[in-house]
Amino acid sequence: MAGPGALGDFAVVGGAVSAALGAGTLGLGLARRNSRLVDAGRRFVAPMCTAAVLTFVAMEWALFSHDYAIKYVANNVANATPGLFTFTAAWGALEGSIILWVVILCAYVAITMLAFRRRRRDALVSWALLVQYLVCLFFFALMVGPARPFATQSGLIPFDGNGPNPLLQNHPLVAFHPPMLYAGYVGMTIPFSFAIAALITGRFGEGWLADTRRASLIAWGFLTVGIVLGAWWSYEVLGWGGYWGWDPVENASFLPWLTATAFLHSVMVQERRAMLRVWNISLIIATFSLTILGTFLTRSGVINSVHAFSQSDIGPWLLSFLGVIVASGLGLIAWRGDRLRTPGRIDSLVSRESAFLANNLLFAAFALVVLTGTVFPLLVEALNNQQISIGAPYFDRMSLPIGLALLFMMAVAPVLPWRATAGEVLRERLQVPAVCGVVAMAFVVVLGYRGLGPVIAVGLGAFCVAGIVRNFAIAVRARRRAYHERTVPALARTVRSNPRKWGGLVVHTGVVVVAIAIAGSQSWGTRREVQLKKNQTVTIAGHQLTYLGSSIVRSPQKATLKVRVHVRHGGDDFGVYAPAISTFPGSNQGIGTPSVHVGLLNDVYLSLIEAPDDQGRVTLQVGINPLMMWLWLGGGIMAFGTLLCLVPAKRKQPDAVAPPERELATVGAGT
Amino acid sequence: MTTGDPDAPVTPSKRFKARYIVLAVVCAGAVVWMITSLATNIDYWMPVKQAVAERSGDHGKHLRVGGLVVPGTVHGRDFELSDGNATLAVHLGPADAPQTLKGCTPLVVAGRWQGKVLEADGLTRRHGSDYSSKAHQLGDDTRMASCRQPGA
Repeated sequence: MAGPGALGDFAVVGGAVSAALGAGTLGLGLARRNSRLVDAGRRFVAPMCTAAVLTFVAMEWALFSHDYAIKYVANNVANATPGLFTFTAAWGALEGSIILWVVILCAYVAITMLAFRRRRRDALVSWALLVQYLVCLFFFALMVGPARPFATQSGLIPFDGNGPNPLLQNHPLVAFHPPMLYAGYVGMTIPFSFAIAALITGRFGEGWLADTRRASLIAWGFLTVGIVLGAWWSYEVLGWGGYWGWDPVENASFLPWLTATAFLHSVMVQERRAMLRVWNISLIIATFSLTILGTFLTRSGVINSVHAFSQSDIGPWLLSFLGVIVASGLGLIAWRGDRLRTPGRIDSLVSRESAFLANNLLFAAFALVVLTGTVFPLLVEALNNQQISIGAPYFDRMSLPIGLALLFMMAVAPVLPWRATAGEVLRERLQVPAVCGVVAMAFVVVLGYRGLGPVIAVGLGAFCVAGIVRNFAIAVRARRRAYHERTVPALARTVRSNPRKWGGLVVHTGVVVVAIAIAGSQSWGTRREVQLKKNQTVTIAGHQLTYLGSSIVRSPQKATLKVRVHVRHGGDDFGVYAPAISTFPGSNQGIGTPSVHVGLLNDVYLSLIEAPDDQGRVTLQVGINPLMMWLWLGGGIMAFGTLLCLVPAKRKQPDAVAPPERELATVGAGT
Repeated sequence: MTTGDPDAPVTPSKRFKARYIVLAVVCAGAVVWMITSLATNIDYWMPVKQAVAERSGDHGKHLRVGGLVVPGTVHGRDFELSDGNATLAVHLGPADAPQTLKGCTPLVVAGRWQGKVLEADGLTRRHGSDYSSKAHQLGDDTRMASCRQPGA
């Protein structure tokens, strides 16, 4: 009888065949300039996407029906697994994660095809679709070969499964963090495919950038949210007290973010000044390559991490695919070398384009630093069979100056005009923000906060935000005068007139908030490990913690030991918090669940290290973590800014009265 | 040999060259700094037995050694670490000493050899949910007989 396994296998093969036929037909059509074949090639998108959705549906069907004849199901759910974690088990292990990857990729391909339906015979769009087909074919091929999700058990079918990895059934964030991150990773396929198409067709002007601006922004937005959610998950679930450990897999998600961020800035230079063509194409190829490198690190088993699923056979496949991408990208750039030279040049070092170039170099340097620290241990292990790691001090030491320099550029670049800046203009635009920065630094020092890095970060952050506020205030004031509008409508219409610019500046504000939160939480926190008897109180950084007792809660899914800790600070009663350790059937690993009092300035972070001993003493790790809430809020602000960038600009009404020229010049300063 | 006219105006090509030279120097400095930082932050992961065996040829490597605290050896900032196959002496240098350091605590000790003592600059308690130390499995062979749970 047909079941989810049969449906899944059929869908996987169907998807692979559709992708292969689509790529073959489209490729043939493009090679022979035969529009009928090109049209026919496009028609395989629908069956391919249907197959991807059916694969996912089949997997969910198998998981919810506990079809333990399928190995994946037997290894990743159990009868007692709650519904949410049964659903998320679809991407909780290697084979399922490839399904999610393919579903998201097909969604991107379908949306792109719909968006370009009026240009379906445009060679650029068709070549881009061909590249997308090939990427889809590769991932479908993984599911047909080394990562077959519906492979069946060879022996007896068990009555119950092993359940998901304990870390993946301990917090609802598992439903959001991986899909967001994948949406970011996979979305980079679209600008990459257009870049390759631009190289092939020779249309590497500004057209392909305009075509992929939204896709790039959407992918970047998802990647940003995915990384922030990953940090949040690490903080809320893993219980080690931090949110970023420079783990190789964390780095693997950060690397494409760095190059994609550089890309989003440098495309503006190409759009305005027709410069940096090779650089932009290289950046997007690098970004896509880094997403594949990240996939390789996560799924090949070359590293042990909470993200690494297991030793698997797909490593060589991914490495080969990475090699093909890099080689074909570089080969095409070399082939088009002469024609890629741009007519524009930088007129002055003090200009918007120079600032963007500097910002790009900083992002590239940051990416190089992180890539070196991530890949170096793997190379040493491969060559010398010596297990090494690069300590966090390397990453911290290198990222601090680069991060501060990026904050500085973020403050200065938006106020610089294109081409050249007069000294007086610069002084006028930067004077007030710079004073705000200095005052902010003095303020935090007076409050008793120390440390050169975080104090400078606060100063640069204030410098940047003050510049944004000044820019916005001038634009609103100009609009009010020109159109005789009230303040609130003028605010909204200012944003609506150029959402790309104001959305970008909202993102900058989010980055500032995140940067200050990171600097503060890394430098001004307190962490201690304490042992407490029942009703004993300890004071840490002004917070009184009293251990009240412990209890065990059992459910079919897990057994949880909770300890109750009463937290107070001065006269404020923060309530009772319950850090816990859970054990799951089929796993002897205790999973800590921290309990966090979230505050505007400080979190009180409690993590249970050891259960009550013979004398009833528990061991807790206590962290007083400053500004953590602002880290998550900053991520939210960045996501909001990205959404704002995606809003289409409102066209000017034909009867609108143009603002006076002088005021327009001022408003335009930041565009 | 001509020395050139010091009052001659700086031509655009000279300015261009000077910028490139400055850029090259800055880039070279950054690369040297990165390599130096990388080289000074390499951690060598190994079990106690390997650390002890390679001690003589160690040459100041920064180690991360996994094992259990030997019961009865904690005296102030000194204790012994064992993986059941070998034992080494640890002195807590600048590392934070947890209040709860006691026999059979599973630890990853970071530090360098000072003679026959490992001078620790960092301690990580190995724990089921310990994210950072999970990155490198040091083998689960670290159970000493004196630390085994009955029936384990």
